[in-house]
Amino acid sequence: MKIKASYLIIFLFLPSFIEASTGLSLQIDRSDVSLSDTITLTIKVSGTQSAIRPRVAGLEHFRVQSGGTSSNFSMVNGQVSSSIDQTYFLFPNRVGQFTIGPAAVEINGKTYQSNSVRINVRKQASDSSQQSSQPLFLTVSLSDPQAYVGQTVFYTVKFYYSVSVRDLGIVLPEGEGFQLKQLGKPAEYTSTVKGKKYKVIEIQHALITEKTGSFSLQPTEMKMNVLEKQRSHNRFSVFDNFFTSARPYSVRSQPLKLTILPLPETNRPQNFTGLVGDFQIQAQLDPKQIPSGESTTLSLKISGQGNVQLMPDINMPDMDDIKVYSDQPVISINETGTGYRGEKSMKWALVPQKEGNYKIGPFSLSFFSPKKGQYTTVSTPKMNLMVTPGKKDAAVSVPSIQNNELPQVKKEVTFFQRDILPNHDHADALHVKFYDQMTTWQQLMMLAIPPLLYLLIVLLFYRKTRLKLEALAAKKAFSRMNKILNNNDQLTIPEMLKMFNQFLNERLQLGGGTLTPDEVEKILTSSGVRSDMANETRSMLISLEAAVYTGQSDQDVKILKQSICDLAKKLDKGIKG
Amino acid sequence: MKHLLILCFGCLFVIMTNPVLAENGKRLNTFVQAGKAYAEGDYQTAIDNYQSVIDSGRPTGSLFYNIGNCYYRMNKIGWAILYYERAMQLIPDDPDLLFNLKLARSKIEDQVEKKSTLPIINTLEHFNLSELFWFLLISNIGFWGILIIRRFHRSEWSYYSFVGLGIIWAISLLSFSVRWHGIHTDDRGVIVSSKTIVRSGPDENETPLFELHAGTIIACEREEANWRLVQFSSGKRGWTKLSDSVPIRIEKIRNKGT
Repeated sequence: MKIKASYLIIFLFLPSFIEASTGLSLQIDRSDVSLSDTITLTIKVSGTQSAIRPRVAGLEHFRVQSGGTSSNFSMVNGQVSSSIDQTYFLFPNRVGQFTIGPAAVEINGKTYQSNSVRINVRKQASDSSQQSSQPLFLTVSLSDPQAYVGQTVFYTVKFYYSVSVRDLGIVLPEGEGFQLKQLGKPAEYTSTVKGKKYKVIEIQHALITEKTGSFSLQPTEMKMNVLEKQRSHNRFSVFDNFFTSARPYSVRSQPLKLTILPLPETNRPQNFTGLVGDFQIQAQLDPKQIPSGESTTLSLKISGQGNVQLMPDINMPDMDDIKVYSDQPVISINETGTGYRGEKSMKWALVPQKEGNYKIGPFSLSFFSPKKGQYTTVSTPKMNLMVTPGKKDAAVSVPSIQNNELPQVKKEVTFFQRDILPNHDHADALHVKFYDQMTTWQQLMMLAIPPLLYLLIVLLFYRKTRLKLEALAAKKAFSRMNKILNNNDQLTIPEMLKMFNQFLNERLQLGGGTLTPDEVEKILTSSGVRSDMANETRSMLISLEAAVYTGQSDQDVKILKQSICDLAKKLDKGIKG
Repeated sequence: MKHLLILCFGCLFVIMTNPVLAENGKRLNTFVQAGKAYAEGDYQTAIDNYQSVIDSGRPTGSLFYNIGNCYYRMNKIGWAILYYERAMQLIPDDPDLLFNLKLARSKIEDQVEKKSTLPIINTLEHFNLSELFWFLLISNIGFWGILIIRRFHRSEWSYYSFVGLGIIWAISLLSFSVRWHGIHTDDRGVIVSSKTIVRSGPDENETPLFELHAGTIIACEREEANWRLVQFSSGKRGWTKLSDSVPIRIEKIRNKGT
């Protein structure tokens, strides 16, 4: 019942759960493509399982081909989520920059809109068109053949293939003064070169240079096994096309030239640390008004794209009447398709010692911008810190940040000299515990009392049960005997005697064994049976025993059986209890 | 008649309890005297008084602790450790005792070899037999009590109570048995003389093997005449003079009248 109720609750509330997380998003596999490339567009409709076809804006310059639909449903920790991914392949019709999206969809009368994406469609690269007659070829390109030292240059490898290949391995150019590092996972798509369709694997690399001058980048080599179908000599063989052989093959790209220019000497800022790229700096003071002796936190954040590992530590200038406690900077670097992005956060706890109005900053950062071809300095605005009169006698609050410079030095507690602790002179020193006062036998007895008590109760309980069973057996003694006597015509006199004795034993609740006729008479009399009936029983037993032991009987067996039954019936009623 | 009965019972009570009260008073007096002697620096008198308190009744952990302190003050580290170890059997979690024993052990000249013992044994050594006995007694009553209840009333709660109390009873029985066995079969002894030569046999002419110093714990194996076979570590055993080492176990010293 509970399970049924749970299911009912789930199905009642499931639509509301799903509806609560309904959303639409749009994404493409690449944003910079050539005219011959294919773009994969995925529209994710979350919070629904119904087949909904969204309307997508900005597709007029593309030929669209449906790539299928996949649906997802999951329930994690009671959170239900479902989504539908609709895939489309886009073939650009013209060169230019295009915006795709937003996609719009109407669910339960409500319209949802997605994000938009931008695509740059270039002309087809000349290198690929030159080699397009071959089934396999490799092209490489540099984002900029002339760059400044420290600038990130992208080295793109594209492998075109129209046959089945496996076990791909790439050999990148090596040389002194530069280093190649792969960015992200390789992209896979299809492209048409001179009317021929190819599958393309595109791998982006960051080319990091530390020296200036001209570099010759050796060709990149792609090694692989090309799968070839084996044809049987038998033209009717059913195994044709099933067997393939792998042939080792390799393709090489064209070599490239790269020129690395030194950074200009003119207009170089004093605080320039070699940062090349595009960066920003932000500052925050929280709170901006505090009582004297309290602390405030100054946060600085440098973020940007380029040689982010060179992002400098900003120095905090000495300020009169403000104690500064610095925190460890936190740096995070991410690889993206467009290079390295990074963020560096620095924090200081400022503890003004006097009331007043303090100017904090500005803080500046200088870097070389390859786009502009010049040095750029970005700064934060000046910030005001208002310090109001505080509690003069109150202890200076300790900044919450962890810092090695904090004036808190823990001191190990050491002994001056060692000595024993004093005697026990309290009255309890003479107190002998109760356990120690007892002898072993007393201890054992204390432990034995509960199990002995249990055994006693078990025995008493057993006796009570036995008496109950005996009384029940006594009540059923006559019916049992009567049943046997009536159902068995072949009974002999010894058997009848035995049964009659058994009846008397059970009915009188005796321990068992055979009683003499005189004993039976006495017991019956004491059990409340009339004396004539007891005497009759005695006579019956005597005659039965005589018949058994002498082998002679003056009575018919059937009549005897009936007599025993009648007597037993009377005894059963006559015996009290 | 009623008043007469009360008077008779009162007299009987006074007659019966008077020797006990008198004995307790005497013990307390001797204990106080011992404390005074210790305060005055007369440590031997303090030891004699504490010992007479022990002899007149049953020992307590504090009495052994106090004797240990007296020996420590007399710079008899071996004897001090002996009495601290005896006190450990009765008041194993007493912070004063643990502190003083640690200090005394730090003065032993011989490097003690660490023995690996089961964690349960180490845990049980924090309890004395009295504590474990009461734990066993209560769990024993609980276990057999629930069995009696289940004879007459079988229900779900009584079943789970039976299982829970059964587990507690088994743990308490095992704990008490292990600790009892540990104390009653404790064969450790302490070297009480400042230095003793361990020989290959029970005679002065036997080959000297190695020497042990005051406070070192040894395992006592057997005795022959005035010699005792002792074992320091697995590979180091031999015979020492009986007077150079004393067993820690309290029963042993009672039987021998040490």
